[in-house]
Amino acid sequence: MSKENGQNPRGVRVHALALLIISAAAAIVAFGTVIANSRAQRNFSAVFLDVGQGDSSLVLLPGGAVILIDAGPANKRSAEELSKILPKTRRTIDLVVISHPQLDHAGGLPEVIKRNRVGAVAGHLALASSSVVQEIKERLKTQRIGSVRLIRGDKIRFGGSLIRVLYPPEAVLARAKDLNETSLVLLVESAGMRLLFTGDINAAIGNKIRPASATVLKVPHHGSKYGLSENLIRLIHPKIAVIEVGKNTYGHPAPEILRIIGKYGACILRTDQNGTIKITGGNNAVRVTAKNAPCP
Amino acid sequence: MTLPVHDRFFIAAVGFCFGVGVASLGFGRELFLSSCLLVAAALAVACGKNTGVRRLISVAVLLSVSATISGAFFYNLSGRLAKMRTRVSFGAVAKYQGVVLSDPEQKAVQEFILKLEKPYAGKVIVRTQNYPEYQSGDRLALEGKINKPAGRYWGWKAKAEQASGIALFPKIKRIGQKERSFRRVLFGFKNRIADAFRWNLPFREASFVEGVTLGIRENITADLADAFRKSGTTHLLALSGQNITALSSILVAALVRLVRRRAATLITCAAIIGFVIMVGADSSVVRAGIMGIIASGALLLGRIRSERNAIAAAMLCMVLWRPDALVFDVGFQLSFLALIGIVYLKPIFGGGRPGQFWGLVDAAQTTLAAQIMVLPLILAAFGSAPVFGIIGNVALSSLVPHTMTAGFFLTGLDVVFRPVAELFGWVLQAVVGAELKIIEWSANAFVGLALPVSAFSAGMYYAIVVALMIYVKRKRAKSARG
Repeated sequence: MSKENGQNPRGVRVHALALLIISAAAAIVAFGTVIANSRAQRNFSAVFLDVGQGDSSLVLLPGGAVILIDAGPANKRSAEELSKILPKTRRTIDLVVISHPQLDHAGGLPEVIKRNRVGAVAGHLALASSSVVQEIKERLKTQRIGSVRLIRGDKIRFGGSLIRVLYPPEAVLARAKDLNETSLVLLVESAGMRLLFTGDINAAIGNKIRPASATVLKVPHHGSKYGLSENLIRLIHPKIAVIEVGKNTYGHPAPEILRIIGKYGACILRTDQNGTIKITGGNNAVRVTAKNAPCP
Repeated sequence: MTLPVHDRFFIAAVGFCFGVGVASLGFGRELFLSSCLLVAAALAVACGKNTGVRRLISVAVLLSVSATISGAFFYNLSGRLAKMRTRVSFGAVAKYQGVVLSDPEQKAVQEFILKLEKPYAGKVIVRTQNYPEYQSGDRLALEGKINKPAGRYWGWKAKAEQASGIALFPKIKRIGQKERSFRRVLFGFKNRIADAFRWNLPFREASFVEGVTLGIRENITADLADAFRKSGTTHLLALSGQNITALSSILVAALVRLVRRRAATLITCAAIIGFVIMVGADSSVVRAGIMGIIASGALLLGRIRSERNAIAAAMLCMVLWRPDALVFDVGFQLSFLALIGIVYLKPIFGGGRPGQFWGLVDAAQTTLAAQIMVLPLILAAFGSAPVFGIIGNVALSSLVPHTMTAGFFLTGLDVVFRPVAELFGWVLQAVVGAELKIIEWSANAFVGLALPVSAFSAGMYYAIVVALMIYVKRKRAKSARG
């Protein structure tokens, strides 16, 4: 066995073979994952991400559409949580809906755009001129991501799923002084479930929207005492109420809101206590996956 | 019989650093008195029976005392000069302008070092909202309070960054850009590499790769940081010799095909300097960069490299650049202690054949040597040390350089054609995922050693380690002779 340049030829061959085997194994794992991930999503899922004091929810529709409703604050938690949920080899979000351009709902969007393929962004970004909104607009332009404007009456259909825009009307957008009042309210209907996403609306707006019912309610404004109206919850009678909230100095969620929700028998889930909350459904069955979840 | 030049350099360098260290701790007066006594003793020895050895010892003592006093003087002088160069209005709301010096860190907030412009002078640490994102070289107009660093966290951070004040959430307006900012170009290059990782890899995998390749830690999540700590692998995120070696190997291998070896080595040295600045010039990477350049220089000049003098030179350069680093920068201390362990302690483990068991034996010896040397410092700084940290380290130490290489390859592909980079990213994330699993398994097997450490107990510990090294070395030398 001859040694050339101090190297053992057999050792080099063995080393090369090992490297080849490891690379092949990694490639098989990676492509196997791709194949597994490419099987279209059959069930409906809604994932309420634990992003701290802010909203960010991922809706996965049967057939594979992925919709992100709000991107949380600018703490990168939304991007981090999305990374755990989206398929590793297909980090694509078909539509991002920003309910209203405040920091705790839109702050995480630049980081989300940086790390994921985004089809389009819907929202009323033109209503705000903060630095984060400027950053978002810049990224949408650089990455050629389309923008969509949604107002009351608009619908988004995907397969057997339907998303209705219940609020705001055009007139409100023209005159609103408070960005919370311009929050997009969406009713997502899929696989026999109805989810109501309410942004940061107040009780007065909640009294106006009047959907027939909802299985899951995303409680307005992180459980603020000015957010949820008793009329709304009486009307929709949700099974589950999700409060997206983190450490804050506003007293969110307000005890009176928790009392109202409890009065109507809804199971309360909170991202500050239960972490990221996954709700899956189909054929009238609803399943909750969350840390210390009080509901089955 | 005279003291050789390389010994004189070593004694002077160590003495100088010792002087800086003692002055940093505020023992200037005690140092001066001890120095006088030592000088007197050395002179007495020198004036006695004039044998060659005694003269050598007295020269060595005089040299080290002079160097020590010089070091202490240098530390105090540099402190005074820094104070003279600082003109900051503390506590009151003021308007000021400056240039962003560092590459801003983006975590939950944005943080960067600002170099003040006239009428003020010095550096301040600025913390602000994440957007707009500032870049190195941006000229900013700010309004707000600058406070003196208070508390352990800000005090140490300010010393490490040589900043005189902290500005929390001032009003900021970008007013321009510094022309021809070399740092801006380097940081832009770094961020382009990081963007390639972030697009082509999931969040956790990207944070690991950008950590071990570029030293970026801002995206390491709290649970991952905890896993690193428990598995004893946090040092992987502090760029060091392994990274410089990997970078040098890649560059030299690529360049020798295009230019002569001498030119390839020179270009590699320049690239190392650029890389060190690009990744933020942390103590460990600066130390590794200096040693890498010394090694290349020795090769170019056809000289034998002395590990001992290379370490002393690196320490001297670091101390001249950042006098506070010796006492206040834990990264600096860990980096040098680990290196000393690898250079002097590892050989006593016996050393296997190169490549034995896929290099795992060598990796285990390297890890054990480094961990023995840094143990007291880890206990003092962090409260506990992982007992089985060697397991994760051995497994990862051979993978990390390849991860770094793969990371640069991914960036190259991303620049050329992103879809191909995405395909490569699928394979790389499987490998990185396995590395993260190793870290998590090691963390789950965490058994912490928590012992109180004092200066005395640390001193005794190192005395025992050094005595053991000398004993084993002498025993081996005796066996070899007999």
